Amino acid sequence: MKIVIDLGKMKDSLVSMYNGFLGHDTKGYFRVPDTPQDLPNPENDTPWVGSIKYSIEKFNKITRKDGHGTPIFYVWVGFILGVITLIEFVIFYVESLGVLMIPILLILSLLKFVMVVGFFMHLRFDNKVFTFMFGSGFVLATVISIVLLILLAIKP
Amino acid sequence: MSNISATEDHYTSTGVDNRKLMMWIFLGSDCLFFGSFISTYLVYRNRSLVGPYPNEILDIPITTVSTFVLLMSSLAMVMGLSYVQQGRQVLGRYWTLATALLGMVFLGFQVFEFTHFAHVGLTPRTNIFGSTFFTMTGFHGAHVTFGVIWLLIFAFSRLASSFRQKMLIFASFLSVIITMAGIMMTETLDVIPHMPFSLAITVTIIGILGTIGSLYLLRVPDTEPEKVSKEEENLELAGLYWHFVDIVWIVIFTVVYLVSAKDGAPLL
Repeated sequence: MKIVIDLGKMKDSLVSMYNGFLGHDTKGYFRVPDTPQDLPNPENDTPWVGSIKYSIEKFNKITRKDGHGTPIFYVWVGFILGVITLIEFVIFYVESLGVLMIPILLILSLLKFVMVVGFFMHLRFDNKVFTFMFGSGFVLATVISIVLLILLAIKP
Repeated sequence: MSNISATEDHYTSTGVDNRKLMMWIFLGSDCLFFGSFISTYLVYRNRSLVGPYPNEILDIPITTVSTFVLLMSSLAMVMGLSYVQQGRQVLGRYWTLATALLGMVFLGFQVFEFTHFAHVGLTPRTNIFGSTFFTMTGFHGAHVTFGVIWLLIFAFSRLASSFRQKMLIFASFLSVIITMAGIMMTETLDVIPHMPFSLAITVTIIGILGTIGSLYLLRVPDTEPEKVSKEEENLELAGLYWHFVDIVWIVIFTVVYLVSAKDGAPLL
């Protein structure tokens, strides 16, 4: 059997994976400001007008706010989770970080936690009552742990 | 909202599936369960009077690999659920079995770690580090074991309908166990007396061939797609439990392994 490596096909599949992740076919126009000549100047005439709203829209689109994710989306989430684990592993061996190491590790693990709960457990797409039920238990557990640690760290 | 229209739910006053709500409440309470173990570990951190101490025995590279294995099992779980929702029985079954397999690999890592600790001299009654560590990771391992059993029973009873395919799923599970036993035999040749190397290799090869063969024979569906996608709600419950086990390990890996791996003898 002859194995043919088709670079064009590989490129197409990579592009389609990227497009699948963004949820956009990237064939449309770039987003340009909508300011016709006969209208008065916009209130806030900077390049960043509406950028927050636009980023929120983009974030909601990338994180699939309206509906379930697709398998390729889950593969991306799993890839990012693996990369974060690798970063944690590398950070563990960086001696120069000192006291900063523990906060960085905690933030990274919180990020992993949120990604698994939000995307893999579908809390991002699901009814909010589940978020409330799980979140109340998680917050209660975290608060009790922190209070316990503080109380027992105080030495009489 | 697509999942609501796809299945025929009974009426509930909350508007959501009662079993799923119960699962989430259970997971919220399980947070408190593991939170108590983790905070106990942290409260008694650095208070062991005799060794071995964490910096002498905790092996970060191996634990990173096992963490990665558990994360990938979570990914396999969500892929399986996604394919079952689409009614694609074969892919859903393969991913579900892959989830159980990766869970078993994780348990293998944990058995290896516990055995190593016991050989070095750390048992639950050696010091306060041993007590808190083994209680926490042991309960987590028990959760993983329960999840593996749940997934295997689910694949056996719900993702196959003909007797032949049920038996093939059972055979693949058995072959994986035979493979693991063969690998263990090759690793412990110096411990077991009169164990020929050829026997250990033969057992491993039989196990690998059995796994590949039974999984190959499972490549055709035996149920209609509509019937498969009805199992979505049931698999989702198992999936929620499995992902919870994963996130508990994410917290344990950071708080117990990475943060406290450099702890030595207490400064009195």
